[in-house]
Amino acid sequence: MSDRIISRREALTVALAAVGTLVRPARAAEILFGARQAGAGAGVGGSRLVIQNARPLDAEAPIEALRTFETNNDLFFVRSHLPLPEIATPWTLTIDGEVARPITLPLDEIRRMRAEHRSVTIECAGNGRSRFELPATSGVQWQFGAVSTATWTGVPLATLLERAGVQTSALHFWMEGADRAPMAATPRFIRSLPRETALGEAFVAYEMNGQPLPLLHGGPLRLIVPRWYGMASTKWLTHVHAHATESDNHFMVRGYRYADGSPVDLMRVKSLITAPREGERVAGRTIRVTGVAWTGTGTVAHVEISSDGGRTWQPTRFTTDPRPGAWRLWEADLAIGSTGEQRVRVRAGDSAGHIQPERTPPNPGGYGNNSIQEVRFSAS
Amino acid sequence: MQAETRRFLVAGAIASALLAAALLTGCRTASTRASAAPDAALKTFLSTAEAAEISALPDGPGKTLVSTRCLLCHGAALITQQRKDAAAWGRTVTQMRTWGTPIQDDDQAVLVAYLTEHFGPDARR
Repeated sequence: MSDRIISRREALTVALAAVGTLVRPARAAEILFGARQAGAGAGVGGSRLVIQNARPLDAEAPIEALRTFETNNDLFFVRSHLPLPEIATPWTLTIDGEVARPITLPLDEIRRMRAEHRSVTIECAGNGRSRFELPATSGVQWQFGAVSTATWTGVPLATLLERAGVQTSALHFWMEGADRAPMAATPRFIRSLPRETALGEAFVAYEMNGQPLPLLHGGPLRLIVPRWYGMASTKWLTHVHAHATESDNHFMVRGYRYADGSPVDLMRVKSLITAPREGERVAGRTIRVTGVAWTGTGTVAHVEISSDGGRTWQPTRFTTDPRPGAWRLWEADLAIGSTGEQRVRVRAGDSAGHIQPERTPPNPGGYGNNSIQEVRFSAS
Repeated sequence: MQAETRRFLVAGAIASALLAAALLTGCRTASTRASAAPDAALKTFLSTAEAAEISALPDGPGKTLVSTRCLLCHGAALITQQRKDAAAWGRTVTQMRTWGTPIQDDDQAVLVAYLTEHFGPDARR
């Protein structure tokens, strides 16, 4: 890198310090809202995204925004590895590599194909990382809110791959988005999907809860991979490269790996209490406990709560149906024995037989923390 | 055109001009969304977020390096929320150099010492 460039970038930093605080977030807000959602961002009860990093933007949903099946677009968590890309017009998706006919499809053409609507819960693989006790943590220190659900509109990736004449030699599909790091030497964010997933549940989405896909959420076009942690659902999707081998990108080989080297892929079964909130004061002899539960293996089969530190558990009732890849809402009435400090825990299990552990074994990357959650509140 | 819409367009134009002046890469206005209606409250919230991150950086010999090197690519919170020992910070800084951040050998020692002092395993959250 030449001195001239360094000096220009340094000047840029000074400029950022001076006006960046006015400019960059304003743009983020502008993109977040969209003209079609005037007044959005105020969200549920005036709540707002909880910002973990301002640049690139990493922000979690406020817990009260997760009390509905679909999360408001403005309160859906945001994870960005790299700065927001410039949006090309027209937006195109290119499919090449181990295919008979490489194709480049304009977004308009994808929009004219038969659309499907799918409700999918996305959880960041690092959600709950801050709850791990790690000697040297790394990554965004998420609490509980890097999870949200939307109904996405798009077309199956398989439909597009078949149009390109995907060959039997194509075993891994490398997903490339338009986002780039400021430094050319920084790795791109490339993830690859195995053939069975790419030709199975994966689809490309251009609408989110009936709105054009917002830029912060990967618009105008992103991948959605149901049941997988969010890193698989590539935002700002521009290319799908069909390969014989898995991607050797940093975020495949070094990032998103558990302690034993196995890849982070399907979401672990997990539940979250959305009411009462931590520290809330409630009145009455019986209180309503509500929450959500999700899994990447099968569907959520049972959710229980405990008010005695996990010695005894009581069942909850579901208020939504089981759907693979989407969370279920649940509720329960909890009897309050005495006033003062209360604790309630939640534990979910799925149809594949997985159940949340008391404490998920930590891993250096801080991934997949599905430890049982406990909320402390007080009753009067 | 309604007055309200016009106001937002003017605000968008001003923001775009500032953006063009300040940010040469990585953060450009989507002109197709220039008519977006920013929510004043969230706009303020977001605008203070990065300023708060930067002001959270403690004084010390490495602060200028953080500001002029690390913040080229990301905000300060990505640093201040971490708790790592000297070896881990050393690995991070080495990786960032590999990824294109202009840091000299002498500067790395200063930077790692600063990061470890303020964002080490025992530092308060």
